[in-house]
Amino acid sequence: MENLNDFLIPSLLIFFAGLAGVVLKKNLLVVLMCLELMLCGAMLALVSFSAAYDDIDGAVFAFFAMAVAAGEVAVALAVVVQFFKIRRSVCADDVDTLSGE
Amino acid sequence: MENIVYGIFCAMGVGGALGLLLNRGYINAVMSMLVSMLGMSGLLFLMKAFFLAFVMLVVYAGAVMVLFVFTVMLAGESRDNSPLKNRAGVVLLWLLMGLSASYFILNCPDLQVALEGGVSALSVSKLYGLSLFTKFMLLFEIAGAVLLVAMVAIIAIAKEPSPERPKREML
Repeated sequence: MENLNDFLIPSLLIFFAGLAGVVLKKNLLVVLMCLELMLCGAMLALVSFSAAYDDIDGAVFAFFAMAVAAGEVAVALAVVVQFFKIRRSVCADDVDTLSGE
Repeated sequence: MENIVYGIFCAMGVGGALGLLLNRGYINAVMSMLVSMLGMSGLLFLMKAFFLAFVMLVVYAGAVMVLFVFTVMLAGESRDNSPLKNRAGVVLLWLLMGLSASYFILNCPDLQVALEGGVSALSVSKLYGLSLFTKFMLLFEIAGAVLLVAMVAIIAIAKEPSPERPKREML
């Protein structure tokens, strides 16, 4: 477990599991969770490249990604809660207020 | 020994991610995501990025997961009613993943990640502080501003509209 590949492959698997969830799931909460998973997978790749080149910049960038992801998920969850108050549903198909029908 | 630990962390990270995809119950999904986060934190630990592993535990496995559990309690129906029905989509995505994985394996530069005994730059927490407050100072301040704006936005979203103002028709 010393090669760069040993850490890139798990990050790729995690990223694609998240991508599959974002594209295929319809529940807004699960979609958000999968979005977090995608961010985490990308972060893992950043840190493994950073470790391979023995340069700290990538790790610091991953740190920023973590901070922004925390803010993003908080806002998104607030929006989901408000949406649930209006529509009593968290299904992505119900988010059609702007569809003009 | 290290290989066994690496295998366990990999299984936790990837298995948790798959569990999030396949679980129908909300709390099970959140818990499998937690397992995935713990596995990823362990992988960071194996890369000797100790500080990031710790931050990952605190921010993701702590704060973000609590936020998700609260939201599930507030807004969740009891089960996720969206099974993975789109088989073609799943197959296509995993095909894409296989392609990019083989690309990685074939073209990856032959670099070592966890140096035996050697001190890597990632393992020294002092370097993070130095880097944050010199090279990435502006980015650091912008991240702080983003978090502040996010906080104000959440309060604005969550606040009940005041009674004297006419309530706008939303739907």
